[in-house]
Amino acid sequence: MASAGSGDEKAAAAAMITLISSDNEKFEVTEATATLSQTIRHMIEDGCTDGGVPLPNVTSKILARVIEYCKKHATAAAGEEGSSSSFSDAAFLEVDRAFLEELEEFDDAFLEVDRATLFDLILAANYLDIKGLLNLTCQKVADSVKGKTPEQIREMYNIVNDLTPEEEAEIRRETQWAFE
Amino acid sequence: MDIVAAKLKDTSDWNNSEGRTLKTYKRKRRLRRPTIPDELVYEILLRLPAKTLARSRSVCKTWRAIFSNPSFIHTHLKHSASRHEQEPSFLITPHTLSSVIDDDVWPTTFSNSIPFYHWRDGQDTASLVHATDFHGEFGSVYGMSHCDGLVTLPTDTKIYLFNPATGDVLKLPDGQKSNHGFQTAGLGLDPGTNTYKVVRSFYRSVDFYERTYNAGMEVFTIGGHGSCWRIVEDPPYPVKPQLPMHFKGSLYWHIYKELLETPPEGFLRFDLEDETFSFICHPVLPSEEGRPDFVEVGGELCLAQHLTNQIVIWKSPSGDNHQWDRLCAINLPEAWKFRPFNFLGYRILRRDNHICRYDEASRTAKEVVCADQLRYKNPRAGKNFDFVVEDVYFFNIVPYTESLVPLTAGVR
Repeated sequence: MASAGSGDEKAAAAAMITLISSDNEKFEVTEATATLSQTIRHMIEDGCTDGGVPLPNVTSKILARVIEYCKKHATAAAGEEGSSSSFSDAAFLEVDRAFLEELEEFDDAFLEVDRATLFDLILAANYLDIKGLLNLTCQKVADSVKGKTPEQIREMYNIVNDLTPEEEAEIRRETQWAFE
Repeated sequence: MDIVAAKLKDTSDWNNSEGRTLKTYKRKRRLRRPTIPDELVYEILLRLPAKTLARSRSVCKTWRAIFSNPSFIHTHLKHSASRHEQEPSFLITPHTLSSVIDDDVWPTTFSNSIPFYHWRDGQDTASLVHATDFHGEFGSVYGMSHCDGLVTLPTDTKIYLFNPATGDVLKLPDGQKSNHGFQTAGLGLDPGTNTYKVVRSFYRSVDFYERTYNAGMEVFTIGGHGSCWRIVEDPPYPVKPQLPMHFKGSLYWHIYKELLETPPEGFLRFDLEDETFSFICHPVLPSEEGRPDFVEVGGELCLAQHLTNQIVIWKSPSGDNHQWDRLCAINLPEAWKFRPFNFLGYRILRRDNHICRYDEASRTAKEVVCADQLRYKNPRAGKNFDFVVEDVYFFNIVPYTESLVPLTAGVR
């Protein structure tokens, strides 16, 4: 579980894993990229990745995007290893800052997708257990809900209001302050 | 862990072919307005601010049920706390006087209107989160404490408890009468019962000339049975009537050295779980100047020693190491020399109304904002509240982690 030494890391980077989407498309990725997914990391640890990893929940369209994200962030994770001290030197911090800015730009561009794709990405991130991607995509949806009325939220996300008028009135009374 | 396991199980349900077909069918029909899959609602709602959450309770039954779920409240708090670490935010309460009486040591004519403004590092505006008017219930106000979105405000009559994000306000019952000092209250989480406790020190008697005292301590459990103060064991040394520091299930008090013939070098820890005191030795500091203060650095309790133009941070002993180690030194701006200040968090310092951030690269503290130069805005009214700076007697400023923690029941 602990991070490997740099020698082992190079060996791990060379090891390739094949991921198979629900529509049977094969993707070759490095182990460093694949292990951003905790689900795949566990599979590798259990030694059951020979012949490829079938991901029946993820389409090739979504998997391609997920891999794009993992590749970028795997490089970022490798870069952070050397400078993880909380009292690190100024030089390291400068490098970190530039890198983080680049990563932020990547993330912003990555989120420029329609809502259906965004939900598919969330589902894939959840299934593959990729914390960073789950956080990024869920935050995007959460931001879209901020400042909206319950009616607007229902409309945006096609949610059926199954509360009785009495229940709804009661909640409104309790949370009146939030609407003021 | 349980949540993660359940989550994965939920997701795997749409793995079966029926579910998959149904989903594809749905998506084709509702391409423009996709639905949020149920198993993701929880994940998304975790990332919403408390006010949006309160307003969204009436969206549907699923959403309503999630908000009152203690595990949701707990996870939401953790999210909010990790956000605070990246982007520190604060609650600012400007206290004004209704009239000025010159010979007061500390005014007794404070305005009874208590607003809470939320300010996030980097913004030039603080937004009103909550305000309550107590209509003449108190004359003086003292320092606030914060823990997990809850705030205590001690006054010369009552101690008030707020969750500004949910709008909950609780007036605590009267405690023991104290014959010395301002009312102060510590606030913290008892990790054993997962309940929040307000702890108050009081003096049954005190005589500085004779150096005699009779000090006590009492505890109020939020959401506990009976809703009353309980007197706990007396502190082994008299405690200073100032705000204690909350750190990992304990409150830390300075010892009131003026009341002791030969004061010990150390401070008192009050364990919130077993409600007992213990004495903690100071490090032997190389210089006698400057009283050490508590501060949390990277999840550890540290002491900050205030020197003329520097603060030296000492790390508390841990594991086999019984030594206090010198962690680092922070250089202070020229203007801060000889001026008192306190920590609002590791990288955040406060002096008067100035808030400074410690910059790791240059190892100096730089001013971020001045509380009397911020704009205070009420987003509901849509206009700027113009506080005339001269009217503000002082600002209560506490670091703030927004939460949905209720004032009526414990969180599990």
